[in-house]
Amino acid sequence: MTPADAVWLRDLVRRRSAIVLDESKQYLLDTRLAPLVRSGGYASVGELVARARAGDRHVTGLIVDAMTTNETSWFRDNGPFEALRTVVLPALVRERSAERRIRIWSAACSSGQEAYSIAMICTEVLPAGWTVEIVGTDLSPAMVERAQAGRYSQLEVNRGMPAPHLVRWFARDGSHWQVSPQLKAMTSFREGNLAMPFADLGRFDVVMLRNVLIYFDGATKTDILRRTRGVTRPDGFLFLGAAETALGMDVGWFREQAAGTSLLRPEGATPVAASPPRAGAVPSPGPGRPPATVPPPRPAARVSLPPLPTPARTSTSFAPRPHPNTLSLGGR
Amino acid sequence: MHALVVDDSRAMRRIVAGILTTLHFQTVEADNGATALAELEQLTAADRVPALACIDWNMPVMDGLELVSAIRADRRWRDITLMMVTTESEHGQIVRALAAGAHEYLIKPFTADAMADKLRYLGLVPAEVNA
Amino acid sequence: MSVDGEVLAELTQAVWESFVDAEMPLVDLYDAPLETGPDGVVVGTIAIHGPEAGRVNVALPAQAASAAAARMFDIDPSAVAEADVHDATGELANMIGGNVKAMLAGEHHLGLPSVTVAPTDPYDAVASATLLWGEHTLLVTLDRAPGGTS
Repeated sequence: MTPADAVWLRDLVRRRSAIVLDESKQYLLDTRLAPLVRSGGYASVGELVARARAGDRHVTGLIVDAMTTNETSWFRDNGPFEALRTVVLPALVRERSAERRIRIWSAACSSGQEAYSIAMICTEVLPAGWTVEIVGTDLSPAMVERAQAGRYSQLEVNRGMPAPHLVRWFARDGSHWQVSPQLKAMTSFREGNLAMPFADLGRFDVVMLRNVLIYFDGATKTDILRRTRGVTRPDGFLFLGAAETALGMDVGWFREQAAGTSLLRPEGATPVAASPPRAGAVPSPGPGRPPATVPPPRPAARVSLPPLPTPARTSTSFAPRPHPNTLSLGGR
Repeated sequence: MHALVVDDSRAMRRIVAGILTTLHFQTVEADNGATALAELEQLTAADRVPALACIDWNMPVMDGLELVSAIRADRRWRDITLMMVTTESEHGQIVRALAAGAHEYLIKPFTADAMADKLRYLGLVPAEVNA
Repeated sequence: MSVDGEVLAELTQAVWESFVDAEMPLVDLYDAPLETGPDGVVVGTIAIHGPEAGRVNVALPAQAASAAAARMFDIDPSAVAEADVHDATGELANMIGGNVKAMLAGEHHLGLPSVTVAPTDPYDAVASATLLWGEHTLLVTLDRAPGGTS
């Protein structure tokens, strides 16, 4: 790839997503585009870029998708989910006992794993009668569509999902796994660009803005954090990625520790550490709920399983592909 | 830390043992449930009870589900984390394995990262070690 | 749910991505013919026994099988032995077969994988997928083997 190609690529990604890839992120260009080059049969990244620069909209779309989608897994990094389960949601159960409603934003939600992971935890922690609304947004329409479908490949469900959760919340659907209607009812997904105003999102009790600020320049980061403050309730919670700091950019926020995880709170909020003790505040999971262990800190002596729905199994049979195939093994 | 890898496929034992070695386990291999129990007896006698057993389901002589039950029934082995590693991926099969006492379940095919993730969550691999 | 060429392609791509090559995913060529290459073809076969008995066959040029074995076992391509190729090809068939089996209704079980260096008769193949890996192709077929009942 020529320096001119790199400049063109960075400009393309910036125009399409406001994501800034400075020269220190050159490696991202190479590693993310390499699979496209190979699968598309191009000789080099240069050839791929030349095709896009010549006006191929399809290739341009593929490049933007490759550059802006994140690897994602269930309960990614675990710490924030532990903090949600043990500190943040219990605190909200105390604070919102009148309205019994919690709204959570999964920003840059990719294919939805974070949003559904949060939904699973909410079903474990929140008492009956509460409403949870989890809103996932992503720049890529393709990702939003995937998140809405809630259908994941075997490889995807292998990434970080504890087996008891898989059997509790997913049904086998051919070679894929389909998320349960209950989790789907708690979530919604839509397109959203973090660099643009957050229109019509409403206000949230918890915002997950993890592993995405890295793509933006300093001014845009500051602006995103400022506008995020505007959609976060005064006693809400903001999670950033484990390795992300927002030092000097987090105007209007203060930093606090919860269950070993660092999170941001709107200035003026009561620190959770100073809140009333949470003993007895969270009812233990009732029957029909999954074991409240994601992950089990140590292997449990026995795995107790909730009653399971037995999904109706449609009959499976070998069937030919739509177009009849000619087998030519050794025939050439 | 020791890990027992039980699979009748030599290729799969090589793959799983390879990943576990990268994650700093010392591995011992067995090709079915019965030989696995014999290996476990030897390891136990040498005071080297493994922390982890990765167990295939379909094997000759004694299958993985029987092995899980046998290990769960023996108090000497109650600290061993049991992870099924198998192509059996039907919903009901996973439930059966968990009910028999398996702690985790990894469906083949899986990536090295997926195995490392599961072991990290089980507390068997430090957060900073990658496959 | 039925096991057709799409499903075979998808299962094979997942196996390949996990154990052989995550960087260069297999491209689905549908029913394109297998390019056999100068050194012949290696075929891994596994029988599925049960109500919907059949066999899964994975055929690939010898060079591709050797390259895949090197990647699967993380060994130097020049150090790949015949046994490695045999193990790797058998395991590919085993894993794809296991995943196909998991999609069938009713009790099924797998036989042991066998590996040959010549194509087997395709019988009445009911599904197939040709996939491209770099310059190599591989062909995955599902046939109804005669006599393969439970």
